[in-house]
This record gives sequence, structure tokens and C-alpha cells, in this order.
Amino acid sequence: MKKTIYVIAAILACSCSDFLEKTPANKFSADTFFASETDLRLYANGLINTALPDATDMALGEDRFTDLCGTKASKEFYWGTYSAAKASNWTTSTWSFPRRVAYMIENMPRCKETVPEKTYNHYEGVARFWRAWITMKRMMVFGDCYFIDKVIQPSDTLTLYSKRQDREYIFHRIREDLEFACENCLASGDGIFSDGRVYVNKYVAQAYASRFFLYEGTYRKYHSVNPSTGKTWNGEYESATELLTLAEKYAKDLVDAGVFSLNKDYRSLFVSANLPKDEVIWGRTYSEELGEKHGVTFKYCSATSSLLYSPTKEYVMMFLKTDGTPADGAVSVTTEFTGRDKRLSASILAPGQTMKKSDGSTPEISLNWNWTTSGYEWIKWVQLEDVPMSGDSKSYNSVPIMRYAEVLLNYAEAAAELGHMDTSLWETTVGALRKRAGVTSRYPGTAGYVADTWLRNYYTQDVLHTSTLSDIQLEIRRERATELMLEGQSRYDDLMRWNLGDLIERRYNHQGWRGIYITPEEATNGFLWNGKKYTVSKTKGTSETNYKITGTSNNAWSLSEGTYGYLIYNYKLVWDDMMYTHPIPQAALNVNPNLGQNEGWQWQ
Amino acid sequence: MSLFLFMGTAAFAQKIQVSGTVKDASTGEPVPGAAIMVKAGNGGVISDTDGRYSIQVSSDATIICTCIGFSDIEQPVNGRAIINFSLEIDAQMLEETVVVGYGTLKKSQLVGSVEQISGEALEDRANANVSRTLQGQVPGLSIIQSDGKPTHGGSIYIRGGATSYVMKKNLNSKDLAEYSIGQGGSALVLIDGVEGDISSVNPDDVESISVLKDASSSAIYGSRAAYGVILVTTKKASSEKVTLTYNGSFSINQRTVMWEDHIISDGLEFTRNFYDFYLGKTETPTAAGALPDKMNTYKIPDNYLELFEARRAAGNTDVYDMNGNDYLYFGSVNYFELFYKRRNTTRSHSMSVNGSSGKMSYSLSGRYYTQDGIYKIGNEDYNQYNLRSKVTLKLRDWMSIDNNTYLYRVNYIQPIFSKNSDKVGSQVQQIAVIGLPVLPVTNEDGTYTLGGAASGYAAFNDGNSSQDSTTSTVITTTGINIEPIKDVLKFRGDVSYKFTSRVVERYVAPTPQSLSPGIITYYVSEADSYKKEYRYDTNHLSANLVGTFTPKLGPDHKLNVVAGWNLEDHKYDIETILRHGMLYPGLPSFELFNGSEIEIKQYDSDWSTIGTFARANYTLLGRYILEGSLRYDMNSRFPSNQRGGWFPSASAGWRISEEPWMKGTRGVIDNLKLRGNWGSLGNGGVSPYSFLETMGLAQSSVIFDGGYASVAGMPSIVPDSLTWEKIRTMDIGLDLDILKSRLSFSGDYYVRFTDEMYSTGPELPAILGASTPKGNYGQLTTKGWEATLSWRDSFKVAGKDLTYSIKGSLWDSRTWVTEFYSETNNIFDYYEGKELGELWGFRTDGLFTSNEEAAAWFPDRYHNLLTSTVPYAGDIRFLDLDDNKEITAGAGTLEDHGDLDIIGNIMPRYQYGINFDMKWNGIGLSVFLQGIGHRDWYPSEGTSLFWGGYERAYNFALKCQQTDRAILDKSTENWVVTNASENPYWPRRLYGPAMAGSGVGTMNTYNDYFLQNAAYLRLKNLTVDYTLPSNVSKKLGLEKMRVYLSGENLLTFSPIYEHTDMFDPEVITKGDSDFGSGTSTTMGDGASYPMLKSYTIGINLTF
Repeated sequence: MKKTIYVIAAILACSCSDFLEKTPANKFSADTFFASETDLRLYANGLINTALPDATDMALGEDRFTDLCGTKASKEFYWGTYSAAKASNWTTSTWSFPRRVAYMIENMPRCKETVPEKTYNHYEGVARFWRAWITMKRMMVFGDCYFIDKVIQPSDTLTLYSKRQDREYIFHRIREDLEFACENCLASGDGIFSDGRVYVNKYVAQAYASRFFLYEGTYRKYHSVNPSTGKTWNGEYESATELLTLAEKYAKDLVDAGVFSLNKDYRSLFVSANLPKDEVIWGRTYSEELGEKHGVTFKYCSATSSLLYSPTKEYVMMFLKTDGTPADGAVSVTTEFTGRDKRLSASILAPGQTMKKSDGSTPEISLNWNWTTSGYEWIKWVQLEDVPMSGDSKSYNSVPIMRYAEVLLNYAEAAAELGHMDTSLWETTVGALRKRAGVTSRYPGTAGYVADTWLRNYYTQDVLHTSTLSDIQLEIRRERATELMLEGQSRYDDLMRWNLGDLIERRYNHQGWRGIYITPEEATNGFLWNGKKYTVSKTKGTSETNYKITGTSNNAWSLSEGTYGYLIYNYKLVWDDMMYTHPIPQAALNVNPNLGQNEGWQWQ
Repeated sequence: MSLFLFMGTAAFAQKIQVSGTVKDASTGEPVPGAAIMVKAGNGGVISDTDGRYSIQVSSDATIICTCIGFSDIEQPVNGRAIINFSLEIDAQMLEETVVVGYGTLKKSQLVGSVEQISGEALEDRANANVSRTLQGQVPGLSIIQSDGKPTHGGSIYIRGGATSYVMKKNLNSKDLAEYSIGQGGSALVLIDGVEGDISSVNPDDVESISVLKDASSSAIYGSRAAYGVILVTTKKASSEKVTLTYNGSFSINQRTVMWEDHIISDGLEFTRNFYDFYLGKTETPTAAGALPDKMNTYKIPDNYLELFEARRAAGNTDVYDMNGNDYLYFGSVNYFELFYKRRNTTRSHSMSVNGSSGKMSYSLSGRYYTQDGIYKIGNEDYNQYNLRSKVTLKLRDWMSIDNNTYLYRVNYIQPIFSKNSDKVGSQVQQIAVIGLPVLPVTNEDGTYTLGGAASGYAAFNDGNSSQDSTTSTVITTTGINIEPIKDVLKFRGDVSYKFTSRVVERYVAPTPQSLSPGIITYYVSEADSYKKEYRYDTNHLSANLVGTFTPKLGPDHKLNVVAGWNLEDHKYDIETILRHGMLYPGLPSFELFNGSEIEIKQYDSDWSTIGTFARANYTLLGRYILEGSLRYDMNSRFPSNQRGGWFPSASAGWRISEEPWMKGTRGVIDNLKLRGNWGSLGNGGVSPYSFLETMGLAQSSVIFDGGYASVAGMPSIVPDSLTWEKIRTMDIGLDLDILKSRLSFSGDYYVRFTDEMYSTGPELPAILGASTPKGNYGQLTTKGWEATLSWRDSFKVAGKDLTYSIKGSLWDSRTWVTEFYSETNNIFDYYEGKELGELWGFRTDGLFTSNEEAAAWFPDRYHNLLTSTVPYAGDIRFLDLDDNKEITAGAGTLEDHGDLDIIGNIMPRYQYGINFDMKWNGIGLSVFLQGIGHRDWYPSEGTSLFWGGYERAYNFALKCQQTDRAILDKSTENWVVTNASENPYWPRRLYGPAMAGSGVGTMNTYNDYFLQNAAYLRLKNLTVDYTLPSNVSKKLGLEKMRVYLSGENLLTFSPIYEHTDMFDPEVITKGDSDFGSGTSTTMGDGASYPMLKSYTIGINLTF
């Protein structure tokens, strides 16, 4: 009996604490992570996996809603009815990536002793690149926001309920991170510089440094006030000139490294299964074999699953003639593609363009007026093959995210803004791009250069904030549009930093988007395109080959001269300078009133 | 039969006349109506009004006096001529032993809310599992069935523990969300002390089932018992002679709803119906409707209806034709008929051997249960095997050891159909969207049509797409009992080990189809064909040490003390393997697939608890009862500083009927007991590792240098402090037995608080960058009551005793969210004051009778006909409750909910069960009715069986929607409803998105017009049985022989049938939990495995 009691006592007294420790088999305890180079790489890969822009981000980005792209319906942001109550993108998921990056920066010192210094610094550079990248992304939308430099705990109410930080402070922190990344990220090594162009390395850091410094440099130069506050820049950290100098430096560093060059075939950059390695600095690979596909092609070839994104006449007019002189707008769509910058027919459907069918045939593509608001159709990202065109998620073209061409343009623009542009720099940058496009490069001011009055008027007349622009500056602006349009938010960013957001409202006489020019003859008899006849009329319904001209009301087509002329898709938009920042969503303000509202939006 | 009887009575020789009186021992009053019978013989007499009787018996016989409400008395005759009986009031009911936590108590000692039913209540019910049989039998115990599948036993909740339900995310969303608050939880089921699945128990093994409903009864189980405990006790090894029993039954089953009988399968009529709905899409008073060129994806020419009409007029019954290069059909197919049999069968055999020899007693029992499929095509088969062996070995007078080993195996094969890997749709839904009557399943050349392939017919018919699941369980318990002081002090120690393996293999073969002659395409391509295997392994170890102390303290004091220690260790591992590319349909081995990637997943969920507990029950003078219990539990699911918890409970009872001053009422009031108790429990049901900061690896979706890479993510924020939800229950109850225990009443009222409920905390600013960790916030309050009333009596019919009893139980509970963090007070989410299950919607006032009337009404956005939002005649009228001249949902918050109102509640209320039993001369009749007194149901989106063409034009053409509907006269621009005076139920015919399809239409926006009343009353079971007289069965070499006829789910009465005949109100909820996700929009209500009604013939033999 006594024995039994002893046994029972022994069992009861056994160390219960071990027995009650249960850990999951397929997870590891967070405090044991960041012990090795492998851990750094796994975590850094996770950042890429989550944040690497995808085909939709790149090919269906904000550029679709700018002055150069017509749509069936724009975003409510431009309707004049937008408000804090309708705003979004300030939620937990908005801020989860900054937390993830901060988690790495905060915890990676655990392996500082075990990992070689260079490697460690590379990964710190990678983490800080991402911190700069994500903060920049938020700052471009909201202006004053937060630079998240720690893992915020739920109990840290001081930080959680703090006021937003000043844009100039935030950008200063971004600058530090970018400089660190450019300094410390490695340029070569397994898992650093690869065929897939997927890893963050020195070149990616330098390319983005040139973009971000140019962005903020020109922003400070062309905007007199911080749009979040409506107050003039306080200049506590960097001046516009300082930022432009940095933009020029990092672009130059990358050019001087000589690693990248321009790919010969402009169009292949956007529609190839494999990324052209010579030009693409950072990209995302898609693969038919692995089933990683996207739906970009279909979104541009469908009457229903997109907003009928279409290039405008203004965009077409920005493409020079092959002799390097400006083109005229009032020409028929059947003829205007000939003798032009090659990028025009690489970006926009031209007569004679063929597609590839799975049965091996290559028929010419007809225009489909159900797919366009302007008469022009985008083909920049479109795989002209029957399968990707037939349905969603069938495209497999890999996507460049950062190209060497942009670095050249960043270089050119920073230099021009600083007054450093000269013939040789011109030929290295803009000249090289024009050469690839089959256009004679003419440096402004030299013999044969023809100034483009239309372009000058476009950027300077009837705009809210006029500035003196040199022909060099104008030509660079032209070149950015013709080279980079529709790649993410390149055009949108340009409009924002040049203080030209109102071009989105202005478009064609503030009326809508301007499309193809229909000559008086064509208006009566129609025109032929790849053997098919296209007409405009007031009676017949919209079909593949017939436009229904219904008048000047919103969402209707009209002709600029009444019975002929430019095809206008009427659509009213509204711009106000407060739109340089988005409103802080009301829901977020309710949780933390200290956020405060961006200038102008308080009253909306 | 009479020959046997004659032979039976002719055996006796010397007879004498015996007479006497029968009196009530407590009052001395004569007892009329008592039965005096010869033991083991036939016939008997009844005492007269003065309690006298007289009977002729053989001189060496034994006679028995029985009377309802009194204990039986046996007296050997021994040649006496006068034998008087003095009957004691039957205290048997009160002295009945009730199984409670870690022991037993006499019913008189009981102060908690415990209900026990005996295994007999489960007899003769040809159900695959016990939970189906248990439904409705115990007040406060809700067993919610999801469908009729034999593998599904339903969810078991005690006292409204069901806190989750499915409802729309918000008024304008088509998506449904599962609402679940706190950790919730089902009842803890212990089978012979081991945590288990009640569905796995062999019904023939059950000795008793005890339901511990309140916290004071279940507190002794600590952190696992927050939502009540069900104790299943299996039959013990008997100490009598060896008995062998056999039970066999055969059932014919029929679906409770015959879908095929309620849809239009005539192709032409279906097409007219389709056109009607489709044309409504674009029809306005100024424009004609557009003609369809497709029925779902089936292409038809513009003049399809004209062609069909012409063929019919010409008597052309050809099904096959051509539309350009494509096949065109003019069929009249009823897909349900193609898929479903009208009846299927169940067979069950069970045997047991029971006995003892010397120091050993044993019992061995086994059961085989099989049910064939409900499908005409495809292999469906259910096979269940149970085997239990119990042995007790008496080593010493004071010591015994025992072993209880249980084996359970169930194998279920069912045909399946799926297009995308891992997403298996509901069969009914698939038929709804593509089982168009006009489409035959095969072409003339034998290839499958679009309908044949996409409805799943091809997959079923080919038999190469199946789900094969096998669950095997072994439980073995070995215990030692030591009794140092006989009847006073006992110890028991036991160790149990349970292993459960569940393997599910799901494989889908490529499905070819032919849409034009000679061209084969694939509805499911080889690349999409797949096999997925799921393995779930449970290893559970538990150990108990329990001491019971019942000292003999004299007649005035009774004490029962239990103390012990308990350990549970649970390991649960899950593995899944997926591979695509089935090369050899019919040979679904992973090795015969060609997919280049094999996806393997593995995770686990382990937990353990250790607890010590004690309970003391003290009865003073047989009338004052006090009980207290305490448990200290430690649970691995909480951080080490929060791991332990104390769970106390206290109860008191007062048997008023035993008070001396109540003596005068003896014989009328036999028992009157008042009970009250309070208990606190912890709910440790949080997922095992929720307090640990962990990181895992995943495969990238980004391609890194030609392939995928492993990536690590950030750990989520773990709660600062995480501990038990605390559940407090207060219960008061009354037990009353009167009229010699003929009439009994038992009632309880309780309030339960779930404090520190595991829920989302206050919202934090978004820059936190992570979801706010859940923690112990919030409170739920449940209030409920239970009442049971029973009557039993007997009288003579044709000289034979007829005993009968009737018992009715009714119970109800409601739950409110009483504390909760909500920033917005969104009415479609939780907010303080919300009653669980409440449904917000619009109030309505019938249909508009003319366009004029509709146009004059307030605008809303729910009459959403594509771009126009104008209502017309025959559309439903929403009411403007807030008088702001428009119909809106406001901000959807409690403060601003526009015209929304609480229109109903989807939780089942007023559940009840009624049992009637009768026995006469070996013949028995039992009737069991079960039902729900109130339940609202709003058919969710995707409920094709209810919405029919209003959901999709090509959906089922429901017969019930043909007549009772608004018929419009469209001859003028002011359309009018011509039959408005008949008050038609269904609105005008209109294309789905404006009505009940995807989008925001008038029908799928919650409103009181389409709110259905899903209350029901069901004749759950009716059994007639006959037991052969024992002398007859003995002649056949049997101890006992009994035959029975039984019917299950025979009749159902429900107001739901007013507008639909496609549903079984008992299983109205979302589709089959085996497939897809329960909340997926592609799964409609009731689109699941049908409930079955069954007719059973059975036999019980005891040798």
C-alpha cells in the first residue's frame, strides 16, 4: 500500500514542464532563425517573393490612367468625387511589408559573427534597399507617411499613434538606405547576380537610386510646396540640386560599370519568354512550362475584361519621324505608321502587323473597334499569338521591371536639369535609344534639329504650373514617353514630379481622349485596314469595324470637326493640386487621429 | 402459435388456488390493478378495487406481484393458499445509478444537470452511427446533421455550444463567411473514459450514455470540458452464464427528397422556361429581350426555341442534330434520374458473447454494417467493422485487472468529380449548372457530350474518379482496481492508448468530351487530372488514477469522495501528397502519374494536459445534498506562465419530498428535488501553438533562375498573454415525480458566461503591419432552459398487461455577444449586443402590381437589372423603414443601418423530442418524433435547388415555380401583373444577376419576403416489435427471440414546403463538407448527400 502511494507521489511530482512543451514539427522557433547565410538568403528570397512587381504591376500599372492612355472609364480618383471616406490602401497589409523588412534588419545581427562581413553587408544592403523601395512607394502616394525602422510591438503606443513624418525626413532616410545598398550590395555571386535577373544586387540598387533621386530631385524643383502640408520645402536635409547630383552619380556609376547595354530589338524586351539579359537589370520570369502565366495579353485584347486601354493621338505624335523631325497629327491611321520611330509600331498595332497562330499560320491582325477607345490598340505587352490572346492567364512573356534604357534616361535628365548635358552625353543616352529606334539623333541646337512646337505647347500651354523648358528638356520628356510608357507607372511618376498632373484632366481640350484622325474622305467612305473596311456612322451599333458616333456626352465618341477629324472619346476628368497626394483613408484616421489629413483633402 | 401455448401450459400437474390482498406498504391502503403472475409462466390476474386477487398456480411455483410505481415482489408459493403482498414504493428510479465524471452516483444524490439514457434507447435504429440515433433524445443536446452521408455523424453541441454559422459577409457581397466567435467547441466525448468519436461506437455495445450538461458536473474534466461532456459506457462483462446474442437487420432506404420528381425534364418545356428567364434580362417596356446564343457554355443557334417547337409540332423526336460544325441536341434528360437510384439498402449483423468463468469475466462483440450507394453510376460503398473485447480478471478479492480493446474500421468509397485539383464541387451544383435537360450525356458515337462531361456523369460512369477513405482506430485500455476496504475505499489506475489512422485518397481521371463530330477535347485534361492523398494519424495516450472513498457513516450521512490525477497526450500528424497527370485511369498509383512535380505537405498539432481533481458529494438525512469539485489543469497550449488553471464548482440540492413535514403527500409526490449549481470551466481549445513565435518555409511563387525557391516569412505577432476562456454556468433545476412515479417532470434554467473570450482585440493603427493578435477579450452570454415531462402507466387489455410511456422534452437557448471590440459596429459582424444568428435584411410588402406602381416607389440599388436599376411590375417591393425616401442599407452599422432590420434568426430554437413506447403481450410499439420549433432560413446564393431559374436562366426548371408566380401582361408600356389577386409568390421572371444570381439582386439581398420558415416535425422513428414468449423461444433453443420492423425519417411536416419541395429541413445548411469549402459560393444550401428514409426489418436472438 505504502509502495503504491510512493509510486503515485513520484508520478505526480514528475517534471510536468517538459511534458507540456509542444512545438510544431514544420516550423522553427523565430528566435533561432537568422543564424546562418542560408537563413539570410531564405528570408531575402521571401522579400522578393512577396514584393517583386508582377506582370500586372508592370503592364497594367498606373500609366493606364494618364494623359496618353484612353480608357472606357477612368478611376473615381479623377471624377472630383473622391474623398477620404472612399480612400483605401492604408491597412495592415499596406504596412506588413515594411514590418517584414524591419524584422530582418532588427534580427539579422544575430548572425553577424558567423557570416562573412561582405555577405552580411550585402544582405543588410538588400534589406535596406527594400526598406527604401517600400517607403518610396508609400511616400509617392501619401507624401508624408512613415519610415518604419523597427518592428513595432502592439504595446508601443507611442509609435503606433504618432504623427506622420515629414516627407523630407523620410526621403533623407531613403537616401541613407539607397547609399548603403549601392555601397554594400554585391555585384556578383551565386544568388546575387543571375540569369533570372530576380535578385537584388548592386546594379538594381544603383538603378533605383538613379530613379528615386531623380524623382525627388525634380519633385522638389518643380513643386514649390510639400503637397501633404501645402507649405514650402524646409530644406532641412537635401536640396533639389543635391538630389539631382546623386541621381546623376548613380546612373553614371551603372553606365560606367559597362555591364548592361541596349538590346537590339526593342519589342522583344516585352514579349519574350526569356528576359533579354543585356538590358534587363531586374525582372520577373514567367514560364509556360511551369504554369506561371499571367493575363496581360488578354486584358489588352478584350472588350469586356478591361477598360479598353488605348494609346492617344498625343502619344502617337510624340514619336518622331525616322529623320528625327516631328510628325504631323492630322494623317490617316493607314499611313501614319510609315517612316516613324520603330517603337511606334512596336507599341501600337500598325497595318500589316501579323500574329502567330498555333497552326503555324501568320495572318495579319485586323483592328477591333470593340477593344479600343481611340482607334489605336496597345501591343507593347501583347504576345501576338492566338493562345495568349484567347483568354486570361495564358500569357507567358517575362517582364522587365528595371531596364538599362531608363537608367540612360535618368542620367540624361539629371544631367540636363543640372545643366551638364553635352553632345557626347546626349549620344550615349538619348542618341543611343533613338539609334535603336531607327531615328536620326539630332542634338537640339545642332544643324537639322527641328524644334517641335506642338510638343512645347503640350507641356507648357494651358497648364497650371508653367516652367521654362529647354528643347533638351522637352526632347528628354519625349524620349521618356516613347521609350518607357506603360511600364508600371513611369508616365504617371513623370507627370507627378514635373508638376503636370493637370495634363490628366486637360487631355484634348479638357474633353476626353483624342484618337485616330479620320479624313473627310474616310468619314464618308471608310478606310481599309489589312483588307477590312472600317467606317464611322451615327446609326449602326458599335461593331468590330464600325464606330458609333453619338455626340459629345460622356462615354460617347465624336469627331473633332463634326463630320470628320480626330476621333474623340468624351470623358470628363477633374484635377486639383491636392491630388498630388492621396487622402489618408478615413478609416485609418478614425483609428489614429494623429495621422492628420493631407492638404486639401480635409474638406473633400 | 396456439399449439405452442397449449403445450406450454399442459406441462404442469398439481394446481392450487392462491389468494390474498395487495397493499401499499407506506400507507396500508389496498392497491388495485396490481398484476400477480407466475414467474416464467404465462398469464396472471389483476387485483380488484379492494386489492384482492385470486390465482390458480402449481404449488411449487413462484408468484410475482408487480404494479407500476412499486417494486416487484416475488414469493414462492410453497403450498400456501394465502399470500399477501405489501408493496414498497419503487425507488428504483431514484436509486438508479448515474454515470458521472470519474465515477457513479445514485440518482438521489445527483445535484448537477446530468441526463442519462440507456443503450436500449438506441436499439432497432438502423443508423450507421450512434449520434444520428441520439439526436433529439436528450434535452439540451443538439446534434446538427449536415447531410445523410453514412460517414457523417453531425456536430454535437450541449446547451447551445454551437457558436458558428454561415451567413453573408455583408449585404452586398455574394460571398458567405463563416461566423465563429471565441474558441467555441463541441462536447467532449469519452468512450469508456477515452476521448473519442461517438460515431465510431457500435450502438449494440452501449450500456448507457450520460450527458453532463452544466459546469458543476463537467468541471472535474477541467480544460477540455468547457462545452459539456458525453460519457459513453459500454456493456460490462456479465457475471452470469454464457450468453450469445445476434442482431441482424436489413433496410431499404429512400432519399427523403426525390429531386428528380420536382424538376421539368422535358427539353422543350425547359427551353421555354430558359428563354423566359433569359429574355427578361434586357426586356424593358420599350425594348425586346435579347435572344440567348448559349445555355451556360452550350452554344445554341438564335432560333433554337423555334427549331425545337417546329420539331415537336412535326413529331420529330430525334435528339441529335448539328449547329454548323457543332453538335446540337434536342433531348429531354433528367440528370438526377441518371445519377440517383430510387432506393438503396443497408445490412447490419452484430454478435456478442458474454459470460464469466471463475475469476474471469469477458465479453466480446462485433458488428458489420454495410450500405450500398445511392448512385446508379459510379461505385459508392460504405463498410463499417467494430470489434470490442473486454476482460476482467479477479486476482484477489480486493484486486482485479481489466482490459478493454476496441477496433473500428470504416471504409467509404464514393465517386467524385472535379475539374481543378483539390477543388471538388458538389454533385448537385454541377448538375444545376450544366445538367441541361436538352443535353444527352453521350453522342451517337458514344463519346460524352458537354453535359455528360461537365455534369460529372462521365467521371461517375467511367468509375476512375473516386474518393476512397479509410479510418482505422484501435483503443486499448488496461486498468487495475484495488479495493483495500470493501465498498469503502477503491482505487483505479488505467492507461489507454489510442491510434487512429485516416487515409483519404482522391483521384480524378482525365475526362474526354466531344463537341463536334470526330473531335475529342478534354473537359479535365491529363495535366489537370490528379491524385491527392491525405493521411491523418492520431496517437493519443491517457492515464488516470482515481480513488473513491464512500465511508459508511450511518443512515443519516452519505459521503462520496473522488480524487484523482489525469494525463492526456495527443499527437496529430497530417500529410498530404499531390501529383498531377493520370496516365492510366483505373490504376491510380502515384507511380503511374507523370506530373513533374509532387507536392507534399506535412504538419502536426500536438497538445497535452495534466490535471488533478477531487469531488465530494455529501447527503444529509437523505434530503440535503452538497457537492463540490475542484480541478487543477495544466495545458500545453498556453505559455508556461499561463499554463495552469483552477476549475471549481459547487452545487446544492434539497429533496423537499423527504422532509418530515411532507410525509402527508407520500404516494402523491414521490420525489421533489430542487437543485442549484455553479461551476467554472476553462476552454483550452485554442490551436496548439498560437502563443509561439514561429517561422516556416514555403515555396516561392516567383521563379528564381528557372525554378522555384524556398522562402521564409515573418512570424506573426503572438498574443502578450493567452489563457483559457473562462466559462461560468449557473443552473437551477427541479425534479418532480408524482402519482407513484407515473408522472415525472424535470426542468432546468441556466445562464452561461464565456468570459475572456478568445477574440480579436481593439483595432490598432495599420502601421503595426500585422493583424492585431487575438487575445482574451470579449464575452458571450447564453441563456437557456430544458424541460422534460413523462408519463408511464399500465392497464390490462384482453387480460394482458399493457404498459406504455410517453416522454416529451423541449429545450431552447439563445446566445448574445455581451462584450466585444468593434470599431464600426458593423451589423454583419459581431458587435456588443448581437444575438448569434440574427439576420439583417429588408422588410418587404409583396410584389409591384404594375410598372406605374413600381416607378412611383422609392429608389433602391437592389433592382439591379444590369445597368438599369428600375423596378417593374412583378418585382418585389422593399420598404422604406427610415422614411428617407430611398431604400438603402445606410452605413451597415448599428448606428446607421438604413432600412435594414433584424428579420429573423438562423439558429435552431425550441428543439424537441417526443418518445412514445408501448408493450403488450410481447408486442412493442415505439414512436419517436423530433423537431425544431423555430428556425429561419434564407437560401444562400448558389442554392440552385431553391432559386431555380431566378439564379441562372439555365438552372433547374422547378415545377413549383411554374404556377405560383407573377404573370405579366406586357401589351402596354405599363406592364401589369394579371394574377395579382391570387397573390403569386414568385416574382416576374428575370435573369439571375438581377434576382438571385451573382451580384446584388432583389432575391439574394436578405429580405423577409424570401425568408423561409424551416421549423419541422419529423417522425424520426417508428418501431413495431414482437418478442416470442419465452417458453416458445426455449423450444427453439433460444433464450429470447425478437423481430421488429422499423422506419426512420418516415414523415416530415414543415412550413418550408410551402414554397419549395427540394429540401429536407433537417439538413438545410451548406453542402457536403467532404468537398470544396463549406462556405464557397459554388456550394448551395442543401446541395449535399441526401438524407435517407429507411424501412428496416430486424431480428434479435439471444442464445
